[in-house]
Amino acid sequence: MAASSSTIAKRLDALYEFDREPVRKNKLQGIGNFLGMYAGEHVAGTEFVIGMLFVAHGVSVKEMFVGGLIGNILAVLSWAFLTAPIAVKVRLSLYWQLKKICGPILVFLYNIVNALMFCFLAGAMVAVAATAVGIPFNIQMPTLTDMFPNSLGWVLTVFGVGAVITVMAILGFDALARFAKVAAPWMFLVFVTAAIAVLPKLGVETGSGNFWQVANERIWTGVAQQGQSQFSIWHVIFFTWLANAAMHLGMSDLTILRYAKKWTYGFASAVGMFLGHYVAWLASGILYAAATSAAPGVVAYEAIGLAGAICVVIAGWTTANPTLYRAGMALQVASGWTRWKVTLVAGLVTTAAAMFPALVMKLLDFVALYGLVLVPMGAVIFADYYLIPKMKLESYFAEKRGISFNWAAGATWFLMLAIALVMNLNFSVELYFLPVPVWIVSVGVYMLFSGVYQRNLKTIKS
Amino acid sequence: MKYIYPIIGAAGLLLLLIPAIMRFAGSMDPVQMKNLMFIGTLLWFAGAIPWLGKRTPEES
Repeated sequence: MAASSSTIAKRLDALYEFDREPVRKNKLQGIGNFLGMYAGEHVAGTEFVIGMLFVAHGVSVKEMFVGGLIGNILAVLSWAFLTAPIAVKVRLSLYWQLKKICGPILVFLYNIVNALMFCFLAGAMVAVAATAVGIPFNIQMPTLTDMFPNSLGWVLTVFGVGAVITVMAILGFDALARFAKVAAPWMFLVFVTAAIAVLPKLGVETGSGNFWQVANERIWTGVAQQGQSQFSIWHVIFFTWLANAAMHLGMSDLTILRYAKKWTYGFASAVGMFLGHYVAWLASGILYAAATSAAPGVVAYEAIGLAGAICVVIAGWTTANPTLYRAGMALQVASGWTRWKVTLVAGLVTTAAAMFPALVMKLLDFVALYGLVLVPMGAVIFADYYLIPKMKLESYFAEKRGISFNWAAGATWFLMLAIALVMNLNFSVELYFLPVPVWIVSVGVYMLFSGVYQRNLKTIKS
Repeated sequence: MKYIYPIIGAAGLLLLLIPAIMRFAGSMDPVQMKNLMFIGTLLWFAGAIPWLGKRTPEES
């Protein structure tokens, strides 16, 4: 696994070689591609769990509908006003943008952290799929409060699902990615129709207009289940806003939006947010309220039978597949191994993580953590593009000075994560509320550190 | 022939939607609904894979 810094830099460059240059005009894509991409990407396996966990955390009807609406609008605005303008002006992928600012070694570290996060996210999806695969074997499903593997049957099912997903990712990532596109419209419809189908079970009657009464009394009751923390509207707003913080505040979607003809294409994210993070979350909450289990596979199977169970498997599988691929790419740089070997290692890590139901049952915390870890680097990109030149400092400092590790960016990242950790552990500030202040403070800290670092470096060299 | 796959796919989606609405309206029992939705799923993939799953020129 060991590799010198220059070797790592060369491997990274080779891996991302195809997108080294800014996107050319003839490669720009129309709004339709972005609408389709966002719609497909945000109706995923995670949606089955997130809507359910909101119900378990005692969100009320008003909090769910109003909070979800506000949070999703904020997410769309973040994509449109923060990520998209930089993407269409620079037209570089996240990797090259970061490399110019931070240098290859810091980008390498960022990639490894990202890879681990991807492995855990894929692990959650393997576990979600296992809850459906385990139904015919009558295995003991994990409950909301289970943190560790609760039966041998669960461990074996997860291992089987993880092995199949890993092998298929090795054999045919491209084919699976196309299959995911095919499955997306069907998957969304399964969410919606399953929720419609269980409404009579909850007591909603056609023509009686009692949906809101049932929703208040049986779905989003406003009372958290035993062992779950009580959520408020602020939790819903911040979680919904920041569920994809890594992509907008963290700037990961520079890689996608650099193909946009105009910055306004950032608003295309609204399709993904309102179909996936609003309608699908509402549907998953309704499904959970009508179910006898917290296992997504069982919840969907009880609602609409085999179609529901298949949907959970495919949702988990198609979400885990690209996630495993991205994790593999990052690990490939560190190891220099072939793609199949790194995908196998990523698959093993993923499968091992999936055996712990905590990954699913605490998915809200993990998703928040994922965003939190990556947003400081998004703030660094934002500050480097807009603010650093205004301070008469140099943007893309690492590239211009041939530095392999920009300490101003690195120290910003580490310091902000340390502060966030202290805020969470010592002052009990929940993870959902940390990414926004961390992002804002990171902008200031990076400018401060850059001022000191760039002036010191110039003094030393002169 | 050009339209056969989209028609099969659309029929699959309708077999998801209609039974769910009929179940909500109380005019279909759960077992029948689940069977039809499963058939709808099979139809969707039978139509959509050859229709939407082709490799585009950009991907190849």
